[in-house]
Amino acid sequence: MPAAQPVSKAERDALFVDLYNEFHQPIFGYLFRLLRDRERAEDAVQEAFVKAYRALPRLDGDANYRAWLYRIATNTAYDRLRRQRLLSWLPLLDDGDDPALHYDHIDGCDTSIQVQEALNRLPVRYRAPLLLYGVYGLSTAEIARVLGITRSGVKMRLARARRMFIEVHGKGE
Amino acid sequence: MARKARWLGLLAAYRELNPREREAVDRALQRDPEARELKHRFDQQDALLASLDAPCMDPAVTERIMAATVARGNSARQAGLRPVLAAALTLLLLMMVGGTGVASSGSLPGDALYPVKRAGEEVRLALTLRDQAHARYAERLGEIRRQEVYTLLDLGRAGIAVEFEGPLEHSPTGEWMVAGVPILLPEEVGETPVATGSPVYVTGEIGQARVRVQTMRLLASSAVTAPRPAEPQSTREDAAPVEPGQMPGPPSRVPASASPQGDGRPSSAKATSTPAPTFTATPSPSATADGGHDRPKDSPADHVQPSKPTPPGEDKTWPMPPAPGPKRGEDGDAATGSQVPSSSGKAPAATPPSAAVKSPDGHPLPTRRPPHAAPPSQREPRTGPPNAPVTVGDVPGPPEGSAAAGSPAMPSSANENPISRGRP
Repeated sequence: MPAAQPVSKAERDALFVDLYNEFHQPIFGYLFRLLRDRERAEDAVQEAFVKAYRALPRLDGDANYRAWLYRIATNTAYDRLRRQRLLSWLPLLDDGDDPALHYDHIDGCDTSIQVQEALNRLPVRYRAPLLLYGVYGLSTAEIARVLGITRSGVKMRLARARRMFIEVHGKGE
Repeated sequence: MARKARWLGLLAAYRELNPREREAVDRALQRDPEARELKHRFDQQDALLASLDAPCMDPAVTERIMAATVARGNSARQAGLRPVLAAALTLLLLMMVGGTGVASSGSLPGDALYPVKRAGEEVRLALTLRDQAHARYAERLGEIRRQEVYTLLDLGRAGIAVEFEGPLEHSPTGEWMVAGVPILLPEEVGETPVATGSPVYVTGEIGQARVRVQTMRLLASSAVTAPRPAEPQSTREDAAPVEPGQMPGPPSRVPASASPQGDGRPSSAKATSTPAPTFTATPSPSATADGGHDRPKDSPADHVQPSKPTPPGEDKTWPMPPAPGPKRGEDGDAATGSQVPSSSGKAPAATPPSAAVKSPDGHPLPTRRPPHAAPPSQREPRTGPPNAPVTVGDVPGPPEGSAAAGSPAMPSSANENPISRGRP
C-alpha cells in the first residue's frame, strides 16, 4: 500500500489505480453483503470509488487507506439503505427484497447461503462490524475508524453481533 | 455485569490480544466452562466467516466501473469548479456593471459613458412609479442636465450637444439665459415672444461661454423646474448675481426661491422677480391676471410684439402695445407664465407695470426694456411656420458684447412663433 502523499495528478491517479485494484473486490463483497443485491452493490462500488477519487487529494499521506475506503463504502451503503428504507414506504416500488434470491447470482464463488442468510438477518449496525472483523480482517481500531465509534464500542458491538449470529445461525442449523 | 461485558469483549476480539493478555484469558477460561464454550463458538464463527468466499465482480464490470469512476471523478471535479466559476463570472459582471455605472455617474455630454448614465437615469425614472417620487426625480434630472451644461461651459468644451430646460431669463448685461445658462439665439430666429420666466426646453451646443440654441420649446410651466437655491453658482463672470433693487434685471440665475410658491415653478410672481424690462417688454398674451403683465385687453392674442433688449444704460420704459388679455395656460393655471400666444386667449385684468413688476424683496421695480432691446416699432416681424420649434443648423458664435450680441431674436408674432408648446 502506498504510504507517501501523492502531489501530482498523475501520482494520484496511479495511487487510485493501485487502491482500486487492491480493494475493489473486497469492497464489492462488503457492499454486496450489506446491500444484498449485486447491481446495487456494483453501483455502490462505483459511487464509493468516485468519492474516494475526489477525496484523494485531501487525504493525508500516512492515512490508513483500507480503513478510509471501507469507511467510504460503509457510508455509501448506509445512504443507499436509508434511501431504500424511504422508498419501501411506497408499496409499488418495493422490490420484495429476499436475500436468499440473490445469493445464487454470485458466480464463481463458493458461498455458504446459510451463513449469508444468518449474516443478513443481523441488523446492519451489527452486520458491518462482524463482516469487517470476521470476513475482511480489519482490526477493532480500523473498524472504529470505519464506523466512527470508539474501539470499546466496536468490541461491544462485535460481541453482540457474534452472539446474535450464533443464535441465528444455530436456528438455521 | 460490566465484568461479563468486558469478558465478552475480550473473547470477541481474541485475536487482537497480546500474548500476556491471551495467557490471562486462557487461565480464566480454564476456570469458566461457559466462557470456554462461548470461546469455542466464536472460533467456529471466525472459521465460517473466513471461509466465506467473496462475491466476485465480473472483470468487464470491474473495467467499466474503473473507467466510469475516473470519468465521473474528473467531471465531478470540473462540476465542483463550475459553480465557483459561475459565481466568479457573475461577480465580475456585477463589478463591471456597477463600476461602469459609478464611472458614468460623473460623465458629461460627449463622454463615452454618458449614454450609460442617461440610460441608467431613464431606467430609474421609468422604475419610479410613485407620482411624487417620479416628479422629484424628474426635477433632479433637470437639475443634473443644467449642472452638466454649467460644467461644460466652465470647461469650454465647445461643440458638445446639450439639452436642458429652465426659465427664460434676461441678464442685466443683455444676455438671454435659461436657468442661468447664457444662451445665444441665432439671429435668423428673430425676436422672442416669450416672456422671461417662461419655462423653455433648449437644445443646442456649447459655444464660447454660451449655449448656441438650436431648438427651443416652450414648456408647460409645471414641466420645468427652476434651479434650486442650494445648487452651486456658476463661476462664470457673466453670471454674477445682481442686486434686485439696483439694476434693471434680475440675477443671472433665478433661483426657485424667487417663486412665491416655493415649488420651483415659474410663476407670475417669479416672473416678477426676473428682469422687469424683459417681462414687460414681452407682451405675451399669457400675462397673468395677478400682476404679471400689463397689457391692454384689446390687443390681439395672436399678435405678439417681440422683445428686443435695450442697450445698457438706456433706462427706458417699454411701451406696451395693445393686446388682449393673457391666455391662461392649458392647465388653467393663470400663474404658469406660459407665453404662447393664442387666438382665443382672453384678456385678463391688466395690471399697471409699476404694480406688476416687483423685486424679490417686494419693492416695485420700474418696468424696463432690456438694455439692448429696440422698441417694438423698430422690430421686424419674423416669418416662419407657426408653432414650429426653432431649429437652426449652424448658429453663429457669440457676439462681442451683450448689446451687440445680435440681440436674441425671436419670432414676432404668434403665427410665426417658433416656440412650440409641450416637451419634446
